[in-house]
Amino acid sequence: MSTMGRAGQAPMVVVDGVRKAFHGVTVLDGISFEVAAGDVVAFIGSSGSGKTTLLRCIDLLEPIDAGRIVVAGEAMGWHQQPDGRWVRDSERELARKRQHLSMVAQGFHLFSHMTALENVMEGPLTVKRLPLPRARQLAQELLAKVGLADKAHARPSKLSGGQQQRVAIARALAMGPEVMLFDEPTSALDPELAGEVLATMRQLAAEGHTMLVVTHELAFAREVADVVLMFHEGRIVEQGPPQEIFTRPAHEATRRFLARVTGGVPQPTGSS
Amino acid sequence: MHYQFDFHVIFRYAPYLLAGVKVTFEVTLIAVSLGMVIGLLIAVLRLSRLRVLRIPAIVYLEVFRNTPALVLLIWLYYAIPIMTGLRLSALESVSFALAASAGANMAEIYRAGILSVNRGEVEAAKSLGLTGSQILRRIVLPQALRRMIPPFTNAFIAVVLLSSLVSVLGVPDLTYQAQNIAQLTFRPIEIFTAVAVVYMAISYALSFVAHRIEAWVSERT
Repeated sequence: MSTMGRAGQAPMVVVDGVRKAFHGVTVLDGISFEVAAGDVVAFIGSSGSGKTTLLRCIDLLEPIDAGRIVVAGEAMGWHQQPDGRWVRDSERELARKRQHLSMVAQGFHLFSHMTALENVMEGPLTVKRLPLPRARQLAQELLAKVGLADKAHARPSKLSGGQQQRVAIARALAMGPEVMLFDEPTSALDPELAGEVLATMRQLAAEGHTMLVVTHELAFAREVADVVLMFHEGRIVEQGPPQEIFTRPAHEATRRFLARVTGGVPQPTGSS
Repeated sequence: MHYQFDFHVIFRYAPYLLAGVKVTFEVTLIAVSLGMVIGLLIAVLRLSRLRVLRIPAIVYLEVFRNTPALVLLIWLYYAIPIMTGLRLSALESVSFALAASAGANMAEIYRAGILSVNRGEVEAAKSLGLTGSQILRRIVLPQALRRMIPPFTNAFIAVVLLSSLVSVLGVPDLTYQAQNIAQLTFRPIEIFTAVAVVYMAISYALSFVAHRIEAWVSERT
């Protein structure tokens, strides 16, 4: 199902036949797709369609029931022993493999006992064991990059939602991940605060970061995403470039979803 | 009422009472510090996803919650040297027994504190690649400990007051000394008035220090 792999390049993310159920309720019902390095993929679909769960599975925050997830060439959650048997990763292995990815969550979840700077330094310091001065310098650079150099010593409680989310993005970037995961990063924000977060994400996309973004911001998906995946009842019912999905949705579920989120107003065709 | 109060006995026997205060301090200090370690261990086990770890912790907590402290203290006083094979002084035995009991109390304080930390922050830390013990040390405990200061203060005071039970086992703490002096002088009211004042003073001092620590911590956040 590799419609988006670029020729001659191993995909950065492979999701293959992934299934997941919670207490007998199927949430992911055989999800497969590939993401090339540098691509921005938007996950759209109504709530409960499995987008967030999939993101959490990729970040190893939820175990999958069946299928396979490969990130940067490494099988996630499993490893093969010399005798060829596959065994589950230990907690330590999981922690190591999570470094391929960084998640930016809907609720920011900054460490509330730390300043913005300390939040960004935490990963490099504790996980990568960078020396303190280098971790601090890196964190300062990243805060400057998201436009918050002057808030380095503020605690999360003193920052606006948009600022908190930008710190969370800097914190994720500090680990130098191969893939950035965004789980509805703007849905807890007022539109004007969402704008500053989206601007930061746009910049990251332009820099060539591989990004998987669960979003309800269709304008953002249309403008920034290389590929849009439409989720419906635990499956991907449609995928393709945003222009196609948004202007000529092939699947009934996509048409209904687009009609609902855009308030029934027809989308202007042909963006950019 | 023709009883003639005579508080002079207190001064006459002050050295014995002071020796008792010293023992009370020793017992309390060992019990509190050891209890904090036991409590953290039990709390972490209690919160484990693994049943084999969780169940012993639950049993431990239920035993302590549902038996009188004095009964357990006496039982542990005899059981700890037998079960561990250690040759312990009476003071060490009762201190460890008191620590085991205090640990059960403190485990619940740790557990509540740990659970009070935002799950999202724990997941954010996980996502960054922190291991379980790093998350506990760097993210959960620094936040939880701050919220634990008031309940821990109460737990410490409880240990001070419960330490009077060790007198039953012949450990010469403040209460034990007081009983002896009371029997010698036939002045239990005066002696125990003084003893009550001393216990109150210790507890108040603890509360005071805890309030200062709390204020200091919240100033820095």
